[in-house]
Amino acid sequence: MKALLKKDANWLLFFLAFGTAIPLFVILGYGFRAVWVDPSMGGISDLMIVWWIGPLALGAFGAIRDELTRTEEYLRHRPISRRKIFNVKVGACLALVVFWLAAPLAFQMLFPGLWDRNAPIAQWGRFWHYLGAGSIALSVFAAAFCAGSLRVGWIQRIVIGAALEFFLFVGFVQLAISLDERWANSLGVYVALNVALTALFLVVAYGNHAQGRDPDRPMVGKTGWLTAVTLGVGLIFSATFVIAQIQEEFRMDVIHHYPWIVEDSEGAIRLITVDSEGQTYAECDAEHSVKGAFHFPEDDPGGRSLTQWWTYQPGWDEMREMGYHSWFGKFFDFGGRWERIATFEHNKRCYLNSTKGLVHLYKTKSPRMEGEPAVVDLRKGPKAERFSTDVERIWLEETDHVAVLADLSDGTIWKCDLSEGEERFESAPLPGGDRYLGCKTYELAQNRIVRNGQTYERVKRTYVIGSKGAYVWNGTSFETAPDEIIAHSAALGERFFVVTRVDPIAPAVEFRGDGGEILFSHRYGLFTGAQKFRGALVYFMSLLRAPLLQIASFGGVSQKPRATFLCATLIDPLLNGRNRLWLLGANLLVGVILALCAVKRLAQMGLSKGRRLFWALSILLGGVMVALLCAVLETRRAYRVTRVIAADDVPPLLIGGKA
Amino acid sequence: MSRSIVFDNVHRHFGALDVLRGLTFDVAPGEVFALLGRNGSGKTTALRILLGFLAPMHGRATILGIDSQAIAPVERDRIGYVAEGHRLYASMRIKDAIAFESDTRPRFRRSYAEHAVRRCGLSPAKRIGLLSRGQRAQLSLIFAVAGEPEVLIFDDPAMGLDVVMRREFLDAMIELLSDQGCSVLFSSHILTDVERIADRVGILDEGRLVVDATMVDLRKRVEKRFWEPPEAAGRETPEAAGRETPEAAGRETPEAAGRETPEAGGRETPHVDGLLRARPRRRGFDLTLLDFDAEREAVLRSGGASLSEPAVPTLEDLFLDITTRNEGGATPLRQRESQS
Repeated sequence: MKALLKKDANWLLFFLAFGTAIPLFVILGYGFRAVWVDPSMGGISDLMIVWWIGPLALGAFGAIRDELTRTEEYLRHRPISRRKIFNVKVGACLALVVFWLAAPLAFQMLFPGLWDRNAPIAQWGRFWHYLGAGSIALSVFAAAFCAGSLRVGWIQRIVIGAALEFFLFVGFVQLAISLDERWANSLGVYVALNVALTALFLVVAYGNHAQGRDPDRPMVGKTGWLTAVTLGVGLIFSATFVIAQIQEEFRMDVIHHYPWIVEDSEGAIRLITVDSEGQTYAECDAEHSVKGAFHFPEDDPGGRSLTQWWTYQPGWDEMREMGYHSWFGKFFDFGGRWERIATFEHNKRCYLNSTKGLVHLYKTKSPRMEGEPAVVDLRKGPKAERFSTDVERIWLEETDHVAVLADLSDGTIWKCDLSEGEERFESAPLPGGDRYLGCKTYELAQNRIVRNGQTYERVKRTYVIGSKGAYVWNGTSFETAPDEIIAHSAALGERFFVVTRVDPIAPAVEFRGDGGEILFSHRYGLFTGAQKFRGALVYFMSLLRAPLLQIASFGGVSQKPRATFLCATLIDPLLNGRNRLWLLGANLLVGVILALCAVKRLAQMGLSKGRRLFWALSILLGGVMVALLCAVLETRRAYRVTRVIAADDVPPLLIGGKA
Repeated sequence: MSRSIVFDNVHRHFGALDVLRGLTFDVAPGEVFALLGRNGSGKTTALRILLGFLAPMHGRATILGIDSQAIAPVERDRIGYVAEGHRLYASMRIKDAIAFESDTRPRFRRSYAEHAVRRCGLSPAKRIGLLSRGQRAQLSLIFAVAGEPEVLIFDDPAMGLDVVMRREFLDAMIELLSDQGCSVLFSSHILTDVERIADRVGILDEGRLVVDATMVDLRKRVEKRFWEPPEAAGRETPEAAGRETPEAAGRETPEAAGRETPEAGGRETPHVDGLLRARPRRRGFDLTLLDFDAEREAVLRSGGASLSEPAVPTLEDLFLDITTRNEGGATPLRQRESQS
C-alpha cells in the first residue's frame, strides 16, 4: 500500500499543496470575524467555490491519470488486486479532500485566531458545521471520478461528468432554498446524502474500473445495471433543469411578443402590438377583445405590466435573483440558517436562527468600540423566555437597527432596539391586543407601462395583518393602517385587473368596473404565425422532458408552496393543473416511439430480453435523455459478433518440425 | 510436455477491424518465440490478450496453464512483461522505481536490479522522464528479468536500443533466461535480432499466423534463386556491351522505382509448386522457393531457362516475400490460399 501511495505521491502532493493553500488564502482574506464570529456563513461563498473546483479536478485527474500516462498495464501487471489499487487511490484522494476541508480552517483557528481580538466570542464549534457543509466536496470528487472511470469515449465522459456535477449542484442548491422543510434543514441528513452519493458513485466507478476499459465488450452484470440507473437519474435531473431554463427563455420570448394592454388618450383600454424597438404601436384584436371603456384612476394613468405572473417557478426564480456567487453560499445553510435582522454601527449585530428559535446579539471588538466582545442570547419579555422555533422576522423598511420578530406560536410581536442598548426583546403589541397573522405588501399605484427609455415604477408598502385589521409601524409602535390605502391597494391589486386564467403561454386577463362588471377581457394565445412558431419551441422543450415527470406534472403535483423545491425544475408548467392533455399524449408517444426504436436496435445487436426490457421501460419513463444514454452505453461496437474461423481451416503454410 | 503459452483459435476485433482471426500457436518451456508481423498485424493485441489486459472475442489463451482471463494477481509475479514503449512512471527516480518494483513484486531481486542498473551506466538518482528511449528500454528489461520470471513477454523490446545494446544486452538476457528454462515470447521489427535469438518464428499477417517455423527449418526449407528465361538469357547485357548501366550512372533503375521492366513485364511469371514469390528483376525473376526439389527444378529449367545456384535468404527476405502485397493487394500466401 505504501508503494502504491508513493508512486502517486507526486501529483497527490501537488493537489495537496494547491488544495490547501487556496482555501487558506480565501478564509484569511475573509478575516477571522467573518468566518468564526458572524454567524451568517453564506457570506463565505468563495470557500465553497474552491471546495467544488478542487475535488472536481482531483476526481477527474485521479480517474484518468494512468490512462493519460499509459501506465495502466505496467501497474496492473504485478501481484496486487485491482480492488486494492482502486481502494488505495480513492482512499488517498478522499483523505486529501477531507484535509482540504479541515486544514485551512484549523490553521486559522490555531494561528491568527488565538490572538484575534474577537477570539473570546469565536464559535469554534462552527468548525464541524463547515466540515458538514463541505461534505459536498466528497460527492463532487466521487462524481468526477465516476465519470472519468466510465468505459466510454472522452467526449461522453466529459458530458456525463458535467451532468452529474450539475445534478449535485442544482439539486442541493434547490434543497437549500427550500430549507423550510425540517428534514432538509438537518445537517446530518445533508451529510448522509453526500456520503450515500459518494458511495454510489464510487461503487459505479469501481465496477467500471474492474471490468477494464474495452469498448468492444458490453457492460454486464451489476455494474451495467448500476451504471445505467445512476447515470440515468443524474442525467434526467440535469437535463430537465437545462430544458426547463431553455423552455422558460422561449416562453418569455412568446410573452414579450404578445400585445400590450394600454389606455389610450381617450381613456379606452386597447390591445396594441409594439415593434421590436418599442417605437411604434398598432392596434390589434380590438374587435373581439374590448368589451367596453375603462378609465384608470386619474392619479395613476398608464397600462399594466404583466410581469408579476410571468415567472412563477419559485426555485429557479430565486436562483436567478441570487446569482451564482450566492448559490455556493447556500450550502452553508444546511443545519440552520442564520439571518441578520438588525445592525447598529457595524459592531452590534443581531442574528436570528429561526430553525432553533435563537436570537443572538454579537458585540464585536473594534477600535471604536468600548468594552469587551460578547455574544448575548436575546430572549423575550421580563421572564427572559426563549422564542419558539416558529418565529418570523418582520421587515421594517424605515430602520435597520430595530429587530422586530413575530412569534407565530402565540401571535405576539417583539422588538429590540439596538441603538437603545437593549439586550432583551420587549413586547410590541398590536392595537387592541390583536393577534399577528402575517405581513402583506400593498401596492399603492399601478405599474406604469414600460416604454422605450422609460422604466416602470412600483410603489409598495408592507403592513402587518392581524385578525382584526392591518397595522403600520410608526417608528416606535404599531398603529392601525388607514382604510383608504388598503381599499385603494385592494382595488388596484385584486379588483380592476384580474388574471382569470393563469397559464404559462395562454393567460386570460380581465379589467373590471367598480361594480365588478367586466369592462375588458383578453385571452392571450398563439394566433399568428410568428406566435405559433415561438410557441412550438416551448412545446418542443416539453417533448424532451421525461414522461414520468410529465405525468406527475399533469396529475397535479403542485408547484407551490416553495417547499416542493424540485417542482421548480422537474414539473412542466404547461401541463400543471391538468392542462394540455394532448401535449402529455405527445410526450408519451415520443417515449413509446423511442422505446420501440431502442428495442429494435438492441434486438439487432443481440442484447438479452431482460436487458431490452430494462431499457424499454427506462426510455418509456425517462424519454429522450434515457434514449440518448442507452445509445451511449449500449453501442453496436460492444455487441458486434465475431466471424469465427475454424482453427484447422487455414493452417500456417510453413510448419517447422510439424510438416 | 505442457506448453508455457498456448493460443487456441483466438479472435479479436476492434470495432469493424478484425485484428486476430484464429490465432493458434504455442510456446514450449525454455523456447524463445519471435512473433513477427507488419504494423497493425495484431502482435501487441495477441500479447495483451495473453496477459489478460484484453479479452478475446473467441478462443482461449493460456499462460503457464492459466487462462489469460483468470490470471490471479499472485500469478503475475511469475510472468515478466515489457510493454510496448517501455512505459514507466516518468516522475520517479530510478532508485524509487526499483523500490516500487521491489515492494510490489515479491520475487523481484532488488540487488540484481541495482547491480544491472549500475552496469548499464544509469544513475539511480536520475528521473525516468529524463532517460533516453534506449535507457528506458534497458530499465524495463532489467525490471522484467529481475523478477525471475517463468515466462517473459516482450512487446518490441529492442525499440530504442542501439546495435551494441541489442547485441550485448538483449541477447545475453534472453539467452540467460532461456537457459534457465524461461519461455520467451517477443515481438520485434528487427529481424536480424530475431534470426540470432529466436528458436521459432511466427509471422502474423492480417490477424493470422501464416508462418510458424523453427529458424533451422526455415533456413533448410527456403531457398532463393534467380531464374532467367531463355529469350533474356540470349540477349546481350549492357555490361557485356560496354555501356554504362543505370546503377553505375547513379540513375534509378526501373526495379528500384517499383516498375516492371519491359523484359520481365513481357514474360509470364513461372508457375511451379513450392514457389512463394517471384519478384521481377531486370533480366528475369528472383524466386523464393519452399521445399524445392529436383523435379521442380527440372520444370523451371525446361525450355532453356537458366536457374542460379541457391542462395540462403535472410529472414528479412522471407518476411518481405510473405507480407508484401502484390498488385492485387493480397500477400503471396493469401493469393495461394484463394487459388487453392
